[in-house]
Amino acid sequence: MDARRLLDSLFTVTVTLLALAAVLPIFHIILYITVKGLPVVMEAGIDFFTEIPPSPIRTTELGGIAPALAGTLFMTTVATLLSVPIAVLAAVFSAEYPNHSLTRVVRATTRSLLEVPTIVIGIVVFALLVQPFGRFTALAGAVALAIVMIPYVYTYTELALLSVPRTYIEAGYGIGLKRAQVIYMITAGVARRGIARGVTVAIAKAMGETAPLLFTAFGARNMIFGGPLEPSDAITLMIYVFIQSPFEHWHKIAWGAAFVLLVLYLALFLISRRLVKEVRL
Amino acid sequence: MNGPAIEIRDLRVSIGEKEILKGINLTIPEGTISALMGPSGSGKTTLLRVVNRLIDLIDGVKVSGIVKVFGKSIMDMDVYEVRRMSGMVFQIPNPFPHMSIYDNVAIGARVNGVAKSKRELDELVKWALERAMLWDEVKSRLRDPPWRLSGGQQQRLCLARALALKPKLLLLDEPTANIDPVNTLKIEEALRNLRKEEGMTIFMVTHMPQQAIRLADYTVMIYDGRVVEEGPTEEIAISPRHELTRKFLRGEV
Repeated sequence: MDARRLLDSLFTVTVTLLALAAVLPIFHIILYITVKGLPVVMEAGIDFFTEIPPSPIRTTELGGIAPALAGTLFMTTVATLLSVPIAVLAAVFSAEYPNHSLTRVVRATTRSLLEVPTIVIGIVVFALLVQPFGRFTALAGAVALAIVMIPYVYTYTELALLSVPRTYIEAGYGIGLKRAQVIYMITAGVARRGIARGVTVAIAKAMGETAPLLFTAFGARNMIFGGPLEPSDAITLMIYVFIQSPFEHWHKIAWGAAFVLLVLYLALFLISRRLVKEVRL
Repeated sequence: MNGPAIEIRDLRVSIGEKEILKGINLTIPEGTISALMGPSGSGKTTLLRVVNRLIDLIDGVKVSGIVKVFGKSIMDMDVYEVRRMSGMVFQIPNPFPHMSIYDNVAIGARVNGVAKSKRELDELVKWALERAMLWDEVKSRLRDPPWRLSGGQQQRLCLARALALKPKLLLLDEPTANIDPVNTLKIEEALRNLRKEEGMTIFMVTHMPQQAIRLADYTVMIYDGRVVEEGPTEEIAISPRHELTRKFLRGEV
């Protein structure tokens, strides 16, 4: 074998190994959570999704994570409903008027929002929506998550809209479509996969956040969702508290909850892929 | 022959500091096929895009002069109404990639309320696809996305999309520049039939003198933003008066 070929195979092997090294942690996490979490969910059965968690003492029963699950679903849904319209409309404006001063402000703000630690967002919402009313609420948690989501949805959407080839937009105007119709029927249509990706990533981000909920939703585990104006638990909050406790059955519940979160993620990405078909240019 | 379909008087277009069209005077008779020829950068595409005011989309564009389409001064009209009067086919096939073959044709009619019922729409889509000589190839797969079609079929789909608004005027910007010879001949046949059977006026930019000779009743030569020669295609092809036309026909510019 000559030196050139040797170098070539050496390179191939290196690249393959590095690629494996990059994806391995992901598989490790998925595998580890499944191995630790799935048996817990199996053991607890359907109760895991309908019951409140057990008392830390005088019992080793598993109970369920219903308050956390309900809280996560509620707050993520409300955060999505709050953030997606705002972020998508802002992105449409930015893509239509790329040089407008408002666009520059929005772009700079969202860029920096992306860098702000989410616990800071939690503190701000605490000061605005919790302190004045004197109570932690699920709604405040949802607002904090919405603020976390906005820059993701905005950035992905703007990029997706800007990458739509000009010729489709011209064709849209060519058949007499009005500006709003071109945006809605052509640009957003061609960019739909990119927009969906932004929304999906943002939802995933919101579902996985703990810090913004610490001082907003706070957590409440003795009832299954008391309403938007009551404190609420979330899966991440619950894992955070339970894994730090000295109680072994709480540790098990935390693993089970982590597994449920993982399944929610997979479901989210699968549904989004299914729902929004790819656009081949 | 009827009145003029397009009448242009002293048309000047500049984008930023650059003057693209420098006083165009032109009359395109109704019910004819006219070819617009000239070297690259002479302003052909710009001229075509003035007629449906797609030119308005460009930042910093200035248009002056009189442009009448079927007797109406389009500069004073609602821009969307102007665009609905004509159908446009672009140089590179650009069917909407996120819509089915059917929806690509139907969208214009749907939005502009041309078809009243589902059935009327179905018939309109069929008519447009037949007119674009694509119906037989796609009738069993109207729900397919356009990327399943070949480039030539995609271009005929774009023709059908333009036809669905039932325009009296078709604007084509080098519609066969990126298409194979078989599809080119199909598109040419479709255009010939549209003129003969639907009485449409067709105004097309073409790079190929042969295509103008095969297709066009009238030919307009422009160079550097000015009309250098115009008249019946035969006259221009056989005895060009202008040196530039001669060069162009020999393929030298």
